[in-house]
Amino acid sequence: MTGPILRIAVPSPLYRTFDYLPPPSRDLTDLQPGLRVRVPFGRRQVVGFLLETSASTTLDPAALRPALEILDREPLLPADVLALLQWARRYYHHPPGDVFASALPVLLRQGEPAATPTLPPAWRITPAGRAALVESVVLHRAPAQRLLLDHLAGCAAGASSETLRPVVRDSAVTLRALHAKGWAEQVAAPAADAAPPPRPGRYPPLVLNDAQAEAIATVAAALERFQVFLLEGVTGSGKTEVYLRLIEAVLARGRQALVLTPEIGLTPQLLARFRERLPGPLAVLHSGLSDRERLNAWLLARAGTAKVVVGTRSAIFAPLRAPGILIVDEEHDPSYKQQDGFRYHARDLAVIRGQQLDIPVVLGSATPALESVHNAQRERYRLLRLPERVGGGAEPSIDILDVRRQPLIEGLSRPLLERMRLHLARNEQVLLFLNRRGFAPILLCHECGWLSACRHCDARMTLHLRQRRLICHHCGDSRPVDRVCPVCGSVDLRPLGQGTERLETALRQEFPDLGIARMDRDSTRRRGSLETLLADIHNGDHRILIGTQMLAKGHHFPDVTLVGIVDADQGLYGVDFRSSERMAQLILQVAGRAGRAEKPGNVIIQTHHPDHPLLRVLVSQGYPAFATAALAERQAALLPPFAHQALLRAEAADPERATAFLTAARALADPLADGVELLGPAPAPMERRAGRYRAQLLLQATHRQVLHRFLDRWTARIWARNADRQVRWSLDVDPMELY
Amino acid sequence: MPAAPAADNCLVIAGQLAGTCETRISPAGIPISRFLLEHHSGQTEAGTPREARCRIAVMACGEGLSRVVGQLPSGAAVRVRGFLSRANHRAGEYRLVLHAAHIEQIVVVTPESL
Repeated sequence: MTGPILRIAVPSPLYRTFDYLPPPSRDLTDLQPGLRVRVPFGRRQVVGFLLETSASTTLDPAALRPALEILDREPLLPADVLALLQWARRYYHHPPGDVFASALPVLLRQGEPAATPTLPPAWRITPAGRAALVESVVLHRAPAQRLLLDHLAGCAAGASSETLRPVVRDSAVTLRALHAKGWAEQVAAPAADAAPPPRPGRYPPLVLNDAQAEAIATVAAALERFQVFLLEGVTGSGKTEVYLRLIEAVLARGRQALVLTPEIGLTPQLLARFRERLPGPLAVLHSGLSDRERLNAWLLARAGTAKVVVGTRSAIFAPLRAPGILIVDEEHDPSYKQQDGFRYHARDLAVIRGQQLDIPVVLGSATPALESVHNAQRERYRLLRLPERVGGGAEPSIDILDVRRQPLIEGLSRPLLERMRLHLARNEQVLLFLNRRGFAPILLCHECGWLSACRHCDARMTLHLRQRRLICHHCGDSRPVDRVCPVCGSVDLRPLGQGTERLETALRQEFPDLGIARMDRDSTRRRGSLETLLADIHNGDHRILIGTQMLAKGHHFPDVTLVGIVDADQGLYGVDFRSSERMAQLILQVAGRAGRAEKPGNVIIQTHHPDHPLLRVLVSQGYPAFATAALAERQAALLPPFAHQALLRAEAADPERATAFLTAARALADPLADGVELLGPAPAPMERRAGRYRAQLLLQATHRQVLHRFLDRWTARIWARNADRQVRWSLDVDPMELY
Repeated sequence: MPAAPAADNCLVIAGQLAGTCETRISPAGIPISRFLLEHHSGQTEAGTPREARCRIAVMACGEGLSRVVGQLPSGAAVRVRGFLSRANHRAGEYRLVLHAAHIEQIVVVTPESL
């Protein structure tokens, strides 16, 4: 007997685990699930994950290969994360190797030892630096250095480079310059326990209103058991303060808190508030970090050194030594759903993890997802409402502006422009929301009607005038703007439709004397540019802000009193049944940027469909009424959350192959599909994308268990069938987008 | 394949700039100037002298032509050589535009100035 069999999740696209023999000459007494194992796989060596040890194997034991090396002394992932991953792998029917790999930072996936984490060093101003701040003339010509030095002078205990990032555009370069001059130095960070207590500053604890106090008391009374709370608070109602108090209560019990947010880059204010109010180091996990920084933050969370872990989607798998609460901020945000590979939903997994750990889960949003509203209505979640803005400020008023038969100047109607003038004359800021970046979505030949089609997709390429390029927003292909029409040779090519860049150009002509800021993925591509832009907006350098949904998240613009939704129509009649929900959420999130206590805000929605029933309900009665009406529509149409869906997608270079694969998959399904409705195969709404033809098969059932029982048997058959290798396919359980 | 050689679409016409000349820049950075040309001449038809009057839109594309057009005062007399094409792709609409290949300013000799 060779000893136990190691069952290992190997990073591969195969829907199975692999059995190995233990490495020779290894003490086998401490083998536990959660260890990393280096194994031979084909002709390569890969790092796999030990799921279990077993006395038997279904394969010929003589054919098993021995593992090469056990990489860890103790399990890398705690039992609760392993249990979560096992659950997720079954629920999402995804290859286990990929599931387990996605829970680990890249360096650990590559076999890096899981060393004890070190706190990142802190930067401190030197006496020479203080002197320079007073008298050096050099600093007058180096504004970034002066700004950073000035900031450091205010940080008695030093500051980590992470916190310096938002201060100046390129903090790393500036720090090096200060270091070279002997004006700033690195010091070892204080040990976590010796960390200075948080100091009151820009974000002092606020006086709670009744709703906040009640929400906090309700959750605080249930800290020892599993319960999901849906914290539905209008924008500005102080959800962050509720989170902070709950985290403080959890920390007081010696436990840790995990907070998920949609995009770290868009929530600098949330992070600043957390850093100031909460003791000890904060572990921040997001894709903007280097692999090394990410590993370090992950290890700090695992060791329990970081009491609070804040991260984006994948942080739901972060290891915690003593988890006490899970908080999902902006729980409706689509970015919680992974859209390729392992297609999990971080909010849903948070609920499962909370249940497995028996700790509370708080889902917060001004505009909760209809799924969550439905769960609250069925009393599976406990609903906590924060109906008022902190400080008693009025919620912005929302008006629908009918633009039918109105002359539009680059998409802006006269009445909207006049309202803008009114607010600008009072020295207030105006925000315009248009969820389309670039100059124009189409380039058109005025003479023959040619459109700027993408070579690889069933889509038009977007004109980016500043870069003088046509860019496909679906596959990323780009090329210089055509000089002449490729069909008829005319030079008279014209941009058709409006993007943010075009809106900016038009507004610069309309308001030549005012500062105008555009905030979208193009204008904030460079690292630090978003922070600079935000700082300039808060200083009042910009009076008109134009932006995509980037503007809708997290930021507060207290001087904005008018918000214009330039084009609400694209959301009202989208192909996806979720598009009206998304539009309503976006409208309210953008509206929430406007006005504060003493300056009530005003929102104008330009639309060609002023009588759209859901839009009317949203504007006149607010989000809860909208959610109820939209849920009634979903119920009547038997759509989620009143049905449960899974989507089998297939794509291939050849249009026939994807459909053929799905037809075969459907043939496998038909004898099993009792209580499951199969729709398709049908071409995806955009059939050709990045040169590949895409088709899909939608599965729908009224009972979740029925769907999953079916999926268990069906996916096993699809895998077993060893299908066409030219076809790439994936299964999306609870798809958020139907294409 | 085009049915006629390029030489079979050639128009030379002289006249005055009516109104102002508008110039915009195509997304690829090519200037496109457009103006109306007011033509008035004496012609012979069926052995009898007669007047010819017309207005036609002229497109002048590219750096070189745009520079020439940009320097013309309003009301300037010009001679334009180019080809004719339809103004847009709307079905059933056959307005013509003269696409200039060459534009020169000329001195008009009118009966009054003699």
